[in-house]
Amino acid sequence: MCTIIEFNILEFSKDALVGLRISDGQVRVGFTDRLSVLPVRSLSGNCLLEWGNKMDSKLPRTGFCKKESILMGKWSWLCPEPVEIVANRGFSNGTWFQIREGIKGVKVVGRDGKEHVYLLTEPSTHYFKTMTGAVRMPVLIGQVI
Amino acid sequence: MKTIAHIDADCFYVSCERVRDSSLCGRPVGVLGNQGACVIARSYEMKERGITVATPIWKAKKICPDGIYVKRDFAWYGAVSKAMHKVLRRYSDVLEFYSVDECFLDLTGIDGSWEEMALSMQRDIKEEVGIPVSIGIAPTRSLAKIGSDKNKPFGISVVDQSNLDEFLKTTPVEEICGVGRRLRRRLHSIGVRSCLDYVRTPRRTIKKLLFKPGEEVWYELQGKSLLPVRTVRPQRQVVSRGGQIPGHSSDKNYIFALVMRNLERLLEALLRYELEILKLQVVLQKSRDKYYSSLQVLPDYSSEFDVLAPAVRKGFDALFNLGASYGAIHLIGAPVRSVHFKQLNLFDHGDQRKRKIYEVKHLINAKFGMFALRSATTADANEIFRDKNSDHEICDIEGKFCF
Repeated sequence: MCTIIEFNILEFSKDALVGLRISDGQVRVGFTDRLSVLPVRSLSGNCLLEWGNKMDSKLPRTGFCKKESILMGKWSWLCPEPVEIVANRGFSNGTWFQIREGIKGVKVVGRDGKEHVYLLTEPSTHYFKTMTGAVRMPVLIGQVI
Repeated sequence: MKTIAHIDADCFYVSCERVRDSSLCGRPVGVLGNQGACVIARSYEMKERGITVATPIWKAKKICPDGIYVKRDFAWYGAVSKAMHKVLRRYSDVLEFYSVDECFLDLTGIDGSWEEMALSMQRDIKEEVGIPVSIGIAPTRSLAKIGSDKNKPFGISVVDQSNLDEFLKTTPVEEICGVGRRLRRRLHSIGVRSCLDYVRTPRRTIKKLLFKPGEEVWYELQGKSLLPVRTVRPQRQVVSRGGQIPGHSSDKNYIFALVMRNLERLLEALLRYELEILKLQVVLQKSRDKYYSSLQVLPDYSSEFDVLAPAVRKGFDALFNLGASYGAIHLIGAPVRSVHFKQLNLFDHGDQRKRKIYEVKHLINAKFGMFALRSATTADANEIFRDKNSDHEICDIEGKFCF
């Protein structure tokens, strides 16, 4: 799993980053943080959307979405949309690893009309499992760890 | 008098990663090996925390929890290495591609200040390639190599007759290339602690202890150049490919698919170096010191899949034990000979159709990646092929002299 991500401060305006942890030009967001958002790449510009769901009664209460369950159609009632999450680093099981282009995610709309983003995961490769000890890994864009 | 430069990239793998991801600069970074289990290279920031090469990842994480761990990408490191050579060839064409992060340059006869030249090389490589290098310039390659190591990182050492004694006096004997723990102990036992002690020891004593290579270094450390900068790699005696099996396995089909994957890599290497082999050794390794091998003699020197594949199958079947778990495989081809020294056969001109197929396969793989078109016998290891980073190993970086 990937419970914390880091992305470049330059991807967003300063106003958008208020309340987030910033150091050395990187913004750090964890799923368990009070303000837990994911930076999403879109044609109209990058935006910060809520990471998974902690409150909404309609949506799954997690920050992660299994790739297998998407393929099996278990999320289809939520009409998920694929999104790209902007990140340079991820943190899984005590290990920081490098992310080159970003992570795949899915965007769904909650009961209140608010957009939520879930980080897409898949079973870990042998390499990732050895490196982090985690059994699941984020689905990376153009990169296999 | 000879003038030889030794150019050594500082924490090369990490520097290469920083070229394409500047956010890694100034942070502790560790590059992990083929299995993701050990640190094979680390930045100076990580080195300061006490992490050495070969530190297991679980230990590295404890010592340096904020370290960023990166998967190795040898194809990229090879490309950066070539870019570095392109810059250096502007200074001299006599360049020895010693290893992926080191090279020697023969600057004999080029006028100008050595310090200025080294500074200019360092600046050009930093600006055009993006990696920091340390440079040693001296009358011999042994002195140049020691010199480049002395002022790391991003340092310059110039050794000539005027500062030679001082340089040798301040250099411990283990800085000599090839002097490991055991030799150091033996040299210390006869009172040789610095390089100056080494050159002051009678030549015969050194030769008795360290044989001919030690004797050559004895001359070289005195500024007498014996070892030239070689632009062409001496012909290989052996061509081998292999590696660890991720996580050990007892699955026969999977292990055989990995063996065939390595056969494809071996064939690619033979084609690239224009070589053929007569014997092929298949090695299956259970643990570090427990391995089994089977030597297969081919009907004639060959570099063709259809000849080598049945030999590999035979060797593999002879070795594999059902239920046993294996950790590594190796294919070793020897003796080798150049395809150009082939005795032509008057009657049999080979299968032209097959040859065409090999050529097409090679062209496709050259364009789309090493395993874009591969044998169906590798199908049981599809997971490995998903990872393009694993296509290139350090030994696939063409042209270098040593590992």
